[in-house]
Amino acid sequence: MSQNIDRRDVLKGAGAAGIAGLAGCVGGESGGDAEYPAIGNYPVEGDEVVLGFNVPQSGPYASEGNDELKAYNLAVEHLNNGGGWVDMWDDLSAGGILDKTVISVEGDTATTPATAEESATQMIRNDGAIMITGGVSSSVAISQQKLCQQERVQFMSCLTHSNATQGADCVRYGQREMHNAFMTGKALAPILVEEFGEDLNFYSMYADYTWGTSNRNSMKRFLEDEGWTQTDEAPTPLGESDFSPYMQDVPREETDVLLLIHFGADAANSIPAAFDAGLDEDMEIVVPLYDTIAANSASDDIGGVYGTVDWNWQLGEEDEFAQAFVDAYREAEGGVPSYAARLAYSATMRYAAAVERAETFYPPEVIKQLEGHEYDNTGIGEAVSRGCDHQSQRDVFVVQGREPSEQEDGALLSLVGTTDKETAGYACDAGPAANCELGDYGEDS
Amino acid sequence: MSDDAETDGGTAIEVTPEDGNLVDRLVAAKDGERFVAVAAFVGVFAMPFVLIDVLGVFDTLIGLSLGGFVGLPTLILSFGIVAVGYNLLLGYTGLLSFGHAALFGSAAYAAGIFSNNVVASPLLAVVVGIAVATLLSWPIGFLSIRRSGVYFAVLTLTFGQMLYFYAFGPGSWLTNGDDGYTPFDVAGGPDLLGFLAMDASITTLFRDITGLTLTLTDGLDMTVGYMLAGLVGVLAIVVAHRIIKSPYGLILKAIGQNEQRVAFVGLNVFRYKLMAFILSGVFAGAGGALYALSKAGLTVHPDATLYWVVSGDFVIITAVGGVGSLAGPLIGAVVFEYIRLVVQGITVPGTEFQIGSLWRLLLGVVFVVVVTLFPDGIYGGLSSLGDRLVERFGAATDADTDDRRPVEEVEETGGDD
Amino acid sequence: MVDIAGILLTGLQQGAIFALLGLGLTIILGTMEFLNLAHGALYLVGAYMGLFIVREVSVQEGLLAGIAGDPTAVGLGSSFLVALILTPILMFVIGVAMERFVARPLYDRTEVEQLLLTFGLALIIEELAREFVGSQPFSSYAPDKLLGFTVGGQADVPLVGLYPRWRFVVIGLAFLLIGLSYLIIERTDFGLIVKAGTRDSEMVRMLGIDITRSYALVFGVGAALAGLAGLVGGTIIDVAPGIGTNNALVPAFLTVVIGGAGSVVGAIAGGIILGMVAAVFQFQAPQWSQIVLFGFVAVFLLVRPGGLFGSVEVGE
Repeated sequence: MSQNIDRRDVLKGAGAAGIAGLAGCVGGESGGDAEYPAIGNYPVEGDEVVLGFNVPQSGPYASEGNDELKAYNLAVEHLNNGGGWVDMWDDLSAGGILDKTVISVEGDTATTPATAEESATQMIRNDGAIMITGGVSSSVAISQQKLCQQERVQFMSCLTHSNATQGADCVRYGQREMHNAFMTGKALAPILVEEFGEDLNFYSMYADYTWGTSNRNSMKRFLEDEGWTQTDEAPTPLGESDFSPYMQDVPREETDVLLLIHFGADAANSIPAAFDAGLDEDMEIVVPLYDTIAANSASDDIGGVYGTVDWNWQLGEEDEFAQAFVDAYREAEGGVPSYAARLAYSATMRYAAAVERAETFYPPEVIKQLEGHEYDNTGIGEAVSRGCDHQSQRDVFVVQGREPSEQEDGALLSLVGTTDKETAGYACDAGPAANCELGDYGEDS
Repeated sequence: MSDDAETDGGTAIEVTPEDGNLVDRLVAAKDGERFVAVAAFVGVFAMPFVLIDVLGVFDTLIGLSLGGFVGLPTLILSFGIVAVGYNLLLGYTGLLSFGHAALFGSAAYAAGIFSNNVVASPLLAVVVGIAVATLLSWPIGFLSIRRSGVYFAVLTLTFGQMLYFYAFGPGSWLTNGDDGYTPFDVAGGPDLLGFLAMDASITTLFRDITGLTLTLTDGLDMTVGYMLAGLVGVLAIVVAHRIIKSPYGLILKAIGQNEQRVAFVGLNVFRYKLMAFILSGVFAGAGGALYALSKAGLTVHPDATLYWVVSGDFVIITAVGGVGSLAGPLIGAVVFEYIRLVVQGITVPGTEFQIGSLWRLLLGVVFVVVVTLFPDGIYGGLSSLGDRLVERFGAATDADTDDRRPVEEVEETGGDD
Repeated sequence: MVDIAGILLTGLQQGAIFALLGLGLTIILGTMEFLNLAHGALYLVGAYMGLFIVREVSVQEGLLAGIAGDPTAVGLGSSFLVALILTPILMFVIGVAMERFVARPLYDRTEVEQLLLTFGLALIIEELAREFVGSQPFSSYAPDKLLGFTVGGQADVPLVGLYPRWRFVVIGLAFLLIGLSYLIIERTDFGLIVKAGTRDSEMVRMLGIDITRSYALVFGVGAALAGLAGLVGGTIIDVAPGIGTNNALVPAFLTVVIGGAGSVVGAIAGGIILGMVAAVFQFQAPQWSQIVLFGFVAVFLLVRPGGLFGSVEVGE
């Protein structure tokens, strides 16, 4: 145990060696499966392993956070006692992870990055969590994964759609399965052209902050590649609640397609505003990223509206893993899961499976198991958790809102198309991946 | 940090150590600067032990996770320092500002931006944070102090909100907007004086120097970063104490009690109020810079630094802890951050029930209860309890206990954290 | 670009809601010198009240969902008119109770204590809302028909072009309510007390008027106005636990200080001015709109201390 190097040399330039991990200074360093040096919260002592679920329980995305939490708890239940994907994946079996019982701690991110960091810190340092997952909104995901990179604790992103998450702000200890704005643009543009026709004019209304502008840029780029023309664009302040005036401003004659780049409460307000203004009669309305809050809240006004989702529960009809998750969720919670729930469930299972494959909780080995891992068992078809940027290359699903009369049993959206991962994806030196430098594993240097 | 407080203060009633029994001597000593410094030092450096280890015992014993995490004491300190300064304004001068988030946040951003663009030096970052907050508090104070009461509060609020929305939107080129700004974004993290890594702890330092293994609990194994924050905190407390005890402090207090009377005496009330505002800005700057340091490599976000709700948090911290006392705001910071960050994670033993989002409800209830039952905050409540004990066990009740109101009380820092 | 008429209409409509909010706050502030940070929470309660009267919604989270099974349909599904009558009555009762149990023990406490307690109360109300109905936003509940008239959809108006009919109703309704309150204050004994109270509450007390009963009345009316603002606001924006703090509290205070604390006319004028300023910049430079709004208030307060019609400097 003498050659353990922490991530930082404490006395710089002194060439000092032999510094134990900061977090594990209270004796007992020789415990656990000691074939690897202590790092972060490794080794895991005792017969329990702690996972940290850090979701928004207050703030604008609390609804989605609560749905994530339900799925996380379901995942823990399955990992310990069997059920769901645990019975279906070769890597997993009941009885916990590496025969350690899984227990969980929950935190409230309050949908702000600073709070998320603080509650994650509590989980890592006080509760000894070996993996953190959760979150809605990209800034929260980015801040948590920065912390996790520092602390040498695995972070599995949940709902985050910004290009930066595994682009410019990517980290070695982070993983994202959800698609991003770039992939949305690539996936949606061809389908929109196919559905609505060539050489159309579109108008872009977007939330005026980074997520909104990156989506606007991606949509503009890929739609113009397809031969469409952007007539005008209108930024709206983040947190705007009354979109009616902006809708009055949309030129009805020359606009064929209206892009509403809003998320969460913004979208829940802006989609109905577009319908109230009667814009749906004059043009097609597209919401590049659908979210459950918006769809639920605006359910009267989503008929015919196109958008992308990470996943939709109706995929269960063609994917046994999706079906197994929907069934388990329905049994435990009633109702159908949102894609936030699937992301949460999948993040936990993918991590557990990687640990089982690595046969250790030692984070660098776990990360290596995730890197380049090809899988088809998370309900979204074939995917690969890419090594160069930790962004899953996967299919992107395009959906259309149902008319109120056709909405039944919580089915608000219909699946209209799937863009396969080769079309939606991008190379390691292109798109957001071009800006990604993952950082180190934190192994002996 | 000499013990010459009595010479410039002249308020503390001098009781020489020979007078009275031990209790009286302690009571007499507690206004002295040396006592304040020692108490602050002990309080600040015992806090991690109490929060992390002592409360952590419940975790091991009954599975109730009451223990704080490494890093919590730093956050408490940075908010506590702001509150100590804020108290100079609210508790003494009687000005209710709703814009201190602007000073705190600007300092945090300034320290961060400086660290990435000039030099990643923690000490200089603290200096820069203080400088920016001080420079900013001058115009904000200068304009706002022209109005009083709710108008003053709203004016400070408007300046704060303007900065908040600027940082969120148009100022994104500087602040990185909603994605948050990463201070001290340097490989290996910041270090002190070029060789002491900020997150190196006592045990690692000890092993590094001597080659021997030292085993300490998490709470005692403080990092260099915490020690720096702690020293800044002690310094802030001593400075605040000296201000309060100085003739200046007396005038501020007099303004808080009756502004007109001070004006009649011929003093320039505006100038004193402005000075109080700027002084509180200095503290807000120190707190903000320490906050940025605690977020090294992580995220400083407008919502957590510049938003008016953060200003509200400072009001809450100060008032819940105890307006008008030196220790009150520090106690308030401990209570506030503890509820916000530790209590929310508590699972009721034997059940699956986690406090979770209920922490905000709890916080609301705590305010209402504290403010209703203890108008002078937790410290006010504690010190009136203390007075009763002193009366009981002290031999001589000295003259000033009778007319002493908690507002005028000072000290016993940190010891009861 | 939106033409000027459109901006004016939008400003007028936002301003009308601000004015309703400010009116409620200012009479409480003026009469009792009581700073009520729970005013936004009253707006929140009004908005939820409207929601559950007008709609029958499926509550998927919170205690309410647990109580009534899954997925719970909660609400009367009644008409907006019913809400328009019920909301102020219920809110009045809440306001009276609040005066008795929250405000009255605080009259002789300091401003800071009033702020703290009412802020704590606001937090409690918001969190209770979250616990009961969850965090999910409910979409706004503008009706399609009112008194037999069609109020949904678009109207083609000269100069403005297409504009949602409901917005006109909101403007009309808000000004009707404002006018009514104004008449009550100008023409009734109750109003006399309010007016006298905003000028000199001690004098009113010395004249032997039972000021505590009047206080309860004033508080009730203030709460009813906040609730009505919430009801009207809930027809325009989503209803969620955060709207009280985010959409109501700060605008209410800005309105009051622009108009002058305690001034009824000031609250009305202040609300409209704020609404107009917000509307103009919202289109021209969305990122700057809030900055300009707050900057405007700051400059205004510096140039015109005490607001437009201010007579009382609260807190001196």
